[in-house]
Amino acid sequence: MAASDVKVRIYETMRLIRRLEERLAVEYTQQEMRCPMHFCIGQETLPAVLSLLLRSEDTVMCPHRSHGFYLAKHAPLEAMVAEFYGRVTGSSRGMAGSQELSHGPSNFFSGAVLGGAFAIGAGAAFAAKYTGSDAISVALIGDGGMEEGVVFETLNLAAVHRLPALFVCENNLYSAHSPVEPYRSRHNHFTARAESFGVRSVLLDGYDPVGLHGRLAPLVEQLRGGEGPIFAEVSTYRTCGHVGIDSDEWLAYRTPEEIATWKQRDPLPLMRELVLAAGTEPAVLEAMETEIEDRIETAIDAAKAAPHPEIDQVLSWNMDPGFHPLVTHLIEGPVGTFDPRQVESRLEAY
Amino acid sequence: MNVPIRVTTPSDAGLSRRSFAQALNDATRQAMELEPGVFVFGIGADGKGGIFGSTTGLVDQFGPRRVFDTPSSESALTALATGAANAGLRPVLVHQRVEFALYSMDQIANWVSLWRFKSGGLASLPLTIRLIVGKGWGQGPQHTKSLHAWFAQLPGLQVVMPSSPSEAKGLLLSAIFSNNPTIVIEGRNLYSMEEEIPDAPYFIAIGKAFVRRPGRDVTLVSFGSMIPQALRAANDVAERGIETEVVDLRSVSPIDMELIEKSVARTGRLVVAEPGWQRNGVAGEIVAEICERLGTRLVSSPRRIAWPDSHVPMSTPMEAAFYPTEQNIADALIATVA
Repeated sequence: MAASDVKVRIYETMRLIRRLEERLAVEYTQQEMRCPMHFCIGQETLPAVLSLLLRSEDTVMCPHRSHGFYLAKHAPLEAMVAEFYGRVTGSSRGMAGSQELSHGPSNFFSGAVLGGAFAIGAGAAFAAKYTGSDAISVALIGDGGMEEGVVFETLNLAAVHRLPALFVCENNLYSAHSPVEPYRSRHNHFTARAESFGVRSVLLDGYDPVGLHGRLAPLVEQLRGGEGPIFAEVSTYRTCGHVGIDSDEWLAYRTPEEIATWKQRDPLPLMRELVLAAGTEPAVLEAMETEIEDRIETAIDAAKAAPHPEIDQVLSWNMDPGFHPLVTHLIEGPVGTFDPRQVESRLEAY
Repeated sequence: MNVPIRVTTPSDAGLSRRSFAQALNDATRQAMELEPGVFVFGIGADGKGGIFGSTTGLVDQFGPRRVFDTPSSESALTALATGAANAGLRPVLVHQRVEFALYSMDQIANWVSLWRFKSGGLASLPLTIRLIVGKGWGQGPQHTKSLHAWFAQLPGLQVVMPSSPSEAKGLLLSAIFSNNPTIVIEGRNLYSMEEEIPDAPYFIAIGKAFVRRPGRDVTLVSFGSMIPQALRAANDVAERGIETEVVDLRSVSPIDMELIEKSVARTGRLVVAEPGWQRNGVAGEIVAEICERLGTRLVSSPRRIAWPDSHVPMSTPMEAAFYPTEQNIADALIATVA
């Protein structure tokens, strides 16, 4: 792909994510989307770059701040918005909402309990290797989630099995409303932890779209070639609150000056300028931006018009009663003769 | 008079005398022969001991790609199984004691059990987790729990508890080939017990109980490692003219309440023998449900025989005093008929 096309595509996805988040934040006030929503305003760069590098058979597993990565896997926008409205047309038929947003056919999955998605990502990588495919697994975590024990278990396990996993820690400096620093016993990067398990680690800038793409593209190819796992710590920052639409500045866990500084570095307008400087016509850009607005509006309107599921339907969604096709007969009666007078197993020294 | 237990062979192929451990091994091997996506892992899975015989020899036949040892990282191992099952493989994860799986309760409760639900019923996780319940030789409080009631209360999981070698083979094969995540809880005390079982693979329905011993006077429901005691108690009281219908649950999630109800509708009497804590256990669930369904048609009060409200002591005579006995079950049967 031509370098200018790369820039345009990155900008387009960043713009889609940003505008979607901003529109959702406005609609959220109507209280028809009733689920906790963790917006990713300011963190669009990484998912936008990934959207160029991932194939449909690659898997992404991420925690609660999921919207950007759903779009990075090119999962359908309408199903995403319908999911937030709890409609049966949603990507999880209204059972997951935002913080567990998933779309199976796009191989995108998420879940909010910290560390779980990261660990399951290693399983997706295991399956790719087991079946001999060159698909990769992207497993995401935040700086707060890095404290979970399962993260270390997973890094070790992935290193031992040389799994084709791209482990990514989005370090946005805060775990909900707590700064990360006081809870990190040694003030070095998270990469040091991954390296201690023998996982090749890199530090990446989540506010430099072109640079990030340039550094991630070869790493993804190396993973497809069997050189995994790789751990990437991506520095980034969210200028929105941790959850919902209300500003959480009253909690005073970060200063207005800090937020303002990061807003000045906003990579979205900077990317727009880069795209124009690389030769895209302003009219083309505006047409793209208009089309993005239309797509978002269409998705919101469709979601509002869609039906909810039915409760009897929903209650049946817990269990899969099916079996592998080779199972043609299930026995319901007795099978053998069992003499219950046998001596039970006696344990000895373990 | 001892009532002989009916023999049913599900196929024309031969029978062989196998231990419970060998039956688990046979099931696993046949599953791996039938489906390339089946793999087995856990601490000691590829060792010569083969997890008390249940995985011995598998690595020699299938190689380390499909049978492998693991670090003591139960949470990550369960997550690996989840990611692999989500991709269409059929992992079998083995823990040598139920307690070790507790490291993975986040994965089991927050991911495995609800993965299909949170996908709107679209995804499946065809994974199997085998858990072993320790008993005897001073296993003590940390190596004796069953916790089947905990797992059984989570929507989305199947929990099966084989009670003899023929059950072990058929239920493990079903667990592996079921598209639903299934936990198989095995009593270590059953491992050396033997039974003639079919050589060919077969699959036992999950969620259906069966009558091990028909009887008209009282229904005795039991499962898992307590079935031998239940059958012996039934034979003991037969000498007093009490004919006990022994129902083997096979699975504690789902529980086959229909079969139990049919049986108790005939006998009017219910005893439940559970290899686990009585308080808040599965026996209570069965008694409650049957009382709701049959209520005043019960001829006598239902009874439960299960563990006292305590952890399991290490000291040998205390260990013996802790566990319910064949006599306890027989006394309950007699009491319901008196």
